[in-house]
Parts: sequence; C-alpha cells; structure tokens
Amino acid sequence: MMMHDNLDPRDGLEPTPRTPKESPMADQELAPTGRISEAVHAWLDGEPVNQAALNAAPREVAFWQKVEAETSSRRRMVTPAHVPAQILGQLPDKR
Amino acid sequence: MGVGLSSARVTHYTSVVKLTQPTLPEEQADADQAVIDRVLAGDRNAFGILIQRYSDPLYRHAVGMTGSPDVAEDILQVSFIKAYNHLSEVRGRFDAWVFRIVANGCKDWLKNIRRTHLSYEEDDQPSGYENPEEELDRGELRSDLDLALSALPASLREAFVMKHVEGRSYEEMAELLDTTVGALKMRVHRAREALQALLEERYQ
Repeated sequence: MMMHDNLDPRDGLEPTPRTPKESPMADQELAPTGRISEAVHAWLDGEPVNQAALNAAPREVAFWQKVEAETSSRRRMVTPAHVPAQILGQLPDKR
Repeated sequence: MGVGLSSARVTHYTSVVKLTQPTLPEEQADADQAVIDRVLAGDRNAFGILIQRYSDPLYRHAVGMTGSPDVAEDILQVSFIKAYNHLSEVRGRFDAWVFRIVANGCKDWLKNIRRTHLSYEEDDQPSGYENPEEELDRGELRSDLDLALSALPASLREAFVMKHVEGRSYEEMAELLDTTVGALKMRVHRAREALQALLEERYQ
C-alpha cells in the first residue's frame, strides 16, 4: 500500500535546511497565549516549579495527570511482531 | 508568593512526564555504523538489526502522528525500505536520519489525508499495545485525545507527540528536528494550550 504522495527518494535523507519558520520571529508567532500557567508548563517540562503557583491550579494539574496516564500507556507501545520480518522480506535482493 | 496557601495545604507534585532512557549517541552511532558496513558489504539480513533497534520509537511516532496503527505500519515499512535503498548516504547518526524519513512520511500522509478528507476513525485495527488489558481500558480519553491531536497543525502535533508520547528531552528533539530548544518549547506549550482548550470542558 503506497501511502506517500511524494516519492522523491531524497526526502528525509538530508537534514532539513533552516527555514524562515524557525527564525526568532516564528517563535514569536508561536508564543503561548497564557491559557496554561507557567508553573504547569514548568512542571510538565520537568523543570523547577513554583510550588505555590502550581497548587493554585489544581484543575489543570488533574487534567494533565489524566492526559499523562494516557500518553504513558502509548509510550509502552511496541511494533507489532510481524512488522520487522515483513519489512525484511520486502527489501530488494540487490542494493 | 501571594497565593494565600498555608504550608499545610501545599501539595508537592512530581513531574508527570517521564523521559525515556538516555542513549549514548557515540557508542550507538558506532554500533549502527558497524551494522551499516555489514549491510553495504552484502549482508542484507543485518539490516534487521537496525529495524529491531529502532522500529519501536519510530512506530510510536508514526502512531502518534497519524492516529492509526495500520497507517503507522505502512509508513514504517516504506521508510525502512527507503533507508535500505539509500544506506550508503547516511551521514552522522542513523537513528536521526531514519527518524527524519519517518517524520517526513507522517507529514506527507497528514497532507494527503487532509486533502482527501478521509477520517482517522476509519481504522479499527489492533493498536499494538503490549498488554491486552490496556487495549480494553484505554477509555474515551484515548479517542478524544486522538481527535484533539488531529486538529493541531502538524508541527505542534509532532512536538507534543515527541515530548509527551515518546518522552524525549527538548535537546533530543532539537537534534532530531534540526531546530532550537526554544522553538520546540513554544510548540509544545502551544500544543498543550490547544489540547486543553479542546478537552477541558469534558475532563476538567
């Protein structure tokens, strides 16, 4: 089953050149809106946290604990057993 | 701090996002290069070592990006075959190189799926969870989270999946995506805000 539109075999083979999207201006465009407190972001990022500010946002903390329970189960996903052999079987005989 | 909480009420939360085991890039790169040399010398089956070594994190990335285990399998397959065909062109770390192939495959698929208006929910294949009980217990949040993720721009979705699903550090993400830690933090923070906005009514 062919999934890709772009069949250029060079795609993904070289590091993507820096684009204007990654300029400091792009960072400004991406600036968070402040909907989530800095303390919650810091906590989720594993950084030092202002504990009092975190305690002031118990609903956000509870919400992200639920999300993390789901994402951590995804972190344990493994490739279905048949896939590696299937890929190996589809490799061309001669490179 | 001015928030009026007494010390007795202060709760200490430990970070919920668990990072994956750090790798040893230099040793890993050497080990990978040894395998690559074998493959280039004609040992086709040695490529299976690289597939076994990297398929799990790449599969998780593809599932996170597409929301579909079935599509993720296809992307993984096409990507590894492409990597095999161009193995002599690897410069630097194989894991970063093959990650970019898979990441581009996912973005191509997302572009295509949005153009053709197909639904993510058409796929009802098994998810590949290790434990069957997890499969039964994944609940509504899983499908709601997938739906919310599918509403995000690809760059925000990619950053969120790499941070929260794959458990990568910002430094590792920056290396794989060839961008800055600051830019990635912005993307992850924006993704969190968007997801919370989409899901908070139901889950807060």
